[in-house]
Amino acid sequence: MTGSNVLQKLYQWCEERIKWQGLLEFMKNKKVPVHNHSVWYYGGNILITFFLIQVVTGIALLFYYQPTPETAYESVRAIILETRFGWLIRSLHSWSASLMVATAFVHLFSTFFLKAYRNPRELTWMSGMLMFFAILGFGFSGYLLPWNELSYFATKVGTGIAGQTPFVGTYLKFFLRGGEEVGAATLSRFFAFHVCVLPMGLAALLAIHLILIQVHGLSVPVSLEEKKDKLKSVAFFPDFVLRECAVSCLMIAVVVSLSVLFPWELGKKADPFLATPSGIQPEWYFLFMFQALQMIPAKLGFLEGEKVGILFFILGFAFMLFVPAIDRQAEKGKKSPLFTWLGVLIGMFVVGMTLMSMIANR
Amino acid sequence: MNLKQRYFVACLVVIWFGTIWGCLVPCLFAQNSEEEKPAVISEAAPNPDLTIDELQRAEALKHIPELIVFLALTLTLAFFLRSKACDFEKLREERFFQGETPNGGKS
Repeated sequence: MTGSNVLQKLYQWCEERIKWQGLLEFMKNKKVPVHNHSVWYYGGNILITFFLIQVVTGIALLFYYQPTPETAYESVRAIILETRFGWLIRSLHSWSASLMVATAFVHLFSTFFLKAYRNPRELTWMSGMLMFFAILGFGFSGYLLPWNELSYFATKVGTGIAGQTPFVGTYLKFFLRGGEEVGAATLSRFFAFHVCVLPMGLAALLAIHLILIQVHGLSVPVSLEEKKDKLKSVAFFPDFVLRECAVSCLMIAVVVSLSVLFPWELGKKADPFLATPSGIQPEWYFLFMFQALQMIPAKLGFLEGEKVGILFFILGFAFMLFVPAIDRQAEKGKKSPLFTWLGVLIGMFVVGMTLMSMIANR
Repeated sequence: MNLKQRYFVACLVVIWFGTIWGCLVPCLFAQNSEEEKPAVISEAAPNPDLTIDELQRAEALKHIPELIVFLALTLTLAFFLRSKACDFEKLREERFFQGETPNGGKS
């Protein structure tokens, strides 16, 4: 039996059981529109690439990591110093996490500006927004796990801010910390969120998101909606899938290069008995909130400034989540410049506050 | 895209995944035996004054040649994927899986 006959038999064996020919036919008949903004279609694939890197490297790290205050830092130290290529796996995990958040911001805003949330893709947008929150949750919960000085005190500050949430703050802080202070219970909870709750949630949301994208197809900008049928297009499979694979290769090259050239630092072990050092900051993707809350005066009339700030952010996130229901013009397939400008303002606010915080900390 | 190039792409894919596997396996299983526990960085840089981050950086910089090889492989793979070298449907249409070369065995 020749090699190609074996391949043919294997192919037929799989086809009889999985019936993938139907799926392939569906994907081949599916078209991806080609226009000036097509480049933004790759955002989702880049996110999935980083997510898969996270999953693979995260599982590898799980073999060694020990989630207790006494052993967490030492186990990460052993991963870096004693495990062959452990430093690389950890750096890949941290760099891909950071790049995943950056890509999530870009994907979110590109989809917002293209008004891809309009009818009938409201649920696609909402599932995407929920995934964005889950990604931020991954960042927040994963930051504490090495139990170093920076992550310990940043989590203390972060959970303290969560404690200022109107009405539910006290309960939320207690729930996150597992007690009054950041300690062993906090580490256990954050670990459980990071390796169990959030991955399951994100995987479920990702499945819903991808199914909805397959059902509705890729959105085109409002200005091209009328001539959608006349646009050039490529087959989803294999053309677009192969292009996405090529982009994934590029992203893997970027993340591996960053991990080798700039390995992710660990810093000093956390000492809970020390006072919070000056200049403690959260990860870069939370800086815009951190900086804005620092700039708000302690009192705004009879209200506490921090509480007002948190309420402002909750309303902002709610606006982003429910924008398909608020933007009535886009729903009718018309241009909505007001929402475009709102998006520009939100983007400028996020970038401006982040830069301000970075400069202030130098 | 002729047959040789397709085989080349297949080799690239195998080497690429082999590289990943080669990195992952030692990381996952090397430490199971205490006797064979590798002391990767501590042996290479015994200076006790260096911090963990400095040791890590020193170790990472030693692997730049491997990084260059990895980048060459990955970027070549990206290039071939972009140029549709792995279009299995076309291969099937050309009856590649039934023991026939796409161009009748001519190179």
